[in-house]
Amino acid sequence: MDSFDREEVKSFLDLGEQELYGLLVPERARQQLNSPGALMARGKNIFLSRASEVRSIVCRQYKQRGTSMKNTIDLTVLVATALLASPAMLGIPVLPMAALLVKIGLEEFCRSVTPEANPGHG
Amino acid sequence: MEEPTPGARIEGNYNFESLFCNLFRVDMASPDLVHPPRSHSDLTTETLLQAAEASFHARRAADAVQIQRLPDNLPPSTAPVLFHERLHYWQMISCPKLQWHFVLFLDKLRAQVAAAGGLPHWICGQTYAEQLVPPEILEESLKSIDAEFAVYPMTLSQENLRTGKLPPIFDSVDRLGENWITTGDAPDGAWPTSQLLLGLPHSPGKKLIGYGAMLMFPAASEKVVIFPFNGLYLMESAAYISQQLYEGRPLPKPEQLDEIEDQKYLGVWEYWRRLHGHRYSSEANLALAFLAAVDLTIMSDVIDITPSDSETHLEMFSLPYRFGKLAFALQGLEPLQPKDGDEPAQAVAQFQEQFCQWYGWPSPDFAIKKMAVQLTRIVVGAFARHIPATPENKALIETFLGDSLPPGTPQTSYLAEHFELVEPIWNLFQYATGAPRIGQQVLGNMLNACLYRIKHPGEFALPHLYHAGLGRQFPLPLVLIDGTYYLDQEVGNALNVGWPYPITGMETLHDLIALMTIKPLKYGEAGQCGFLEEALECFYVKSGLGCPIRGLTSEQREIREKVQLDDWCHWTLRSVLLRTAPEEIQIKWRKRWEVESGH
Repeated sequence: MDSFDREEVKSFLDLGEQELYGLLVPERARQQLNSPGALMARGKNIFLSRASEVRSIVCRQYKQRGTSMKNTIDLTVLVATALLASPAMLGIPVLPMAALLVKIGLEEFCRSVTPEANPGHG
Repeated sequence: MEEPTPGARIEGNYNFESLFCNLFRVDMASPDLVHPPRSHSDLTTETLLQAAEASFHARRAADAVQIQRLPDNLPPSTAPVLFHERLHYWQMISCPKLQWHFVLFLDKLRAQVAAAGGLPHWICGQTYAEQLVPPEILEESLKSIDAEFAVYPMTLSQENLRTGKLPPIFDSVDRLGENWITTGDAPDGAWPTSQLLLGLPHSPGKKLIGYGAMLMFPAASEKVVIFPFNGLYLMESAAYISQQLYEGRPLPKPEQLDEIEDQKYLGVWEYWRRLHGHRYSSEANLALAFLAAVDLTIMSDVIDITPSDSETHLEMFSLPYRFGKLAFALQGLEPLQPKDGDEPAQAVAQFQEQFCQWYGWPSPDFAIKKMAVQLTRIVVGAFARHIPATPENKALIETFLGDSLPPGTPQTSYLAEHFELVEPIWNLFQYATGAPRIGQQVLGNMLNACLYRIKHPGEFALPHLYHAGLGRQFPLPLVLIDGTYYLDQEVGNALNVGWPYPITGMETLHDLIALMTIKPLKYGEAGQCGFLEEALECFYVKSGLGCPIRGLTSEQREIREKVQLDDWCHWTLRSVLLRTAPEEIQIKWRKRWEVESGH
């Protein structure tokens, strides 16, 4: 669970939601020509396109282990660890996604998911 | 189709390797940009039909693509974004420096396919058949290109500047104090403004030498803003200013540029405004001159040049160096002032020619003709095996290879100077039949754009004035929105307009999909797909057929099995074709095609 650098995790949590959306864009896709605001918009598109799969992975963990966590860094690490091996995150930076989910609010994000919910497709 | 939300905002992105134009919705709460979300039952029915269609193509080693015209009822905010992305496409297909970047990208793909034991001849490149560009030449050039398109965040405090705590970027060439040039007070009192010589790092021990600017905004910010004049900053600034003019908005006068995003879009313009603003009585002419300068920067002569000194080499190959020299030297030339009744494009072309004559640079016309020769050579090489060996064809090829030239003549320069010798060679394009090589259609588009540049000088520099004509001739080959492929609205007018290379919209579309799919090969990643690398949805994912590389769900697997689609997708086709796919995938599909064809 401690495979992430806590300082790095904190640095992501210090960013605003808009910046975090931009950081969801894979590194190689950032060195292109974007209209103003395109990185953030692209990041939001990525977030939405993965939301369903991410919800099925993260929310089960959150409901089982995260609801009692008060420290946002611990919570972000928990979420990032859950996402790390997911095919849904292929090419997408994990820490910005985890920080974003924590900032959005996991309670809100996982409202419709029960702890026993199907973890998703193989 | 549902009416889109009138206030919906979108943003766009342009990829210089795959040529994809991606549009993204900003307001996620609004309905889908162009069509409503499908219900689950629709998805099942449509997915099955699309799976059957894709399977039909797979049996013939072809790709399934659904495409439609961009609808007319896009949100109003789409027009300027599309203009912005079209502009980047026009920059790319018509400027020798950017065309050259693309050719090197293809050469790198060829090298990686060969390294993976595949068949490089399926990709166009400077070398013929299985031959490759030497890796040491290729790597050096590609790293420089990376530096041309990198963002360099270099904002610092005035305290840092006073105490000499500067980013390492300055150390590479010389100390800051010895290289800055204070250009004096700008008319609005915003100063100081300095031009710096920088070394943009791109690989261990390697730098791209070029100029940049240091700007301060004492009234609004404590920060010192520093940025290079590299390709990214130049082209975004030019695109932003063109977009402002296209939309009829006032030209920007930023009060500060603390944000990196603002530096990208406004930095070079603000430098230009401070340097040249007091010399121009008209802001419109100041903007025209800025667009002309950026255009001339990316119109450098990059083919077969043997620079006599490092200065000439930098002026041709380093965009930040070239722009720095150009911007500064233009202070010695009369401002661009089109007279009443002058066509702006002509005025810009004359301004560029005048500078080149005065400064000793090759003219844009000469640079573009040399590139046209080179592109012709590469495209002809792609289908040379189909050219009948008649005496006429042999004579044409000999002209091209230089056998008929005086010994020692640099053939590309000679042909650019005697361009009438090149035109008959385009007759060979009639033999460009059969499956095109990857990159061939894009290179053909570039050749056509060269010819447009030669016949309509200055128009590509001023797209806000000439977008209608440029859009008809050179529409975006592909616009991707939420995994759906669209043809640019004006594409119907683009075909058969008399340019050398015959273009068909669908072949260009397939070329772009191939380029996007195999893009990760640039890094030697044969098992990766560019759609995944960029977190973009492709046709197969959008259709509910899933991604074989990411892994299929049980439903997706079931549908694929039902119609024998198996693991077919954009990536499988190209990887089997190039023989870079895992062997079991190659064997499986080849066997299947043998059965289908009865062999």
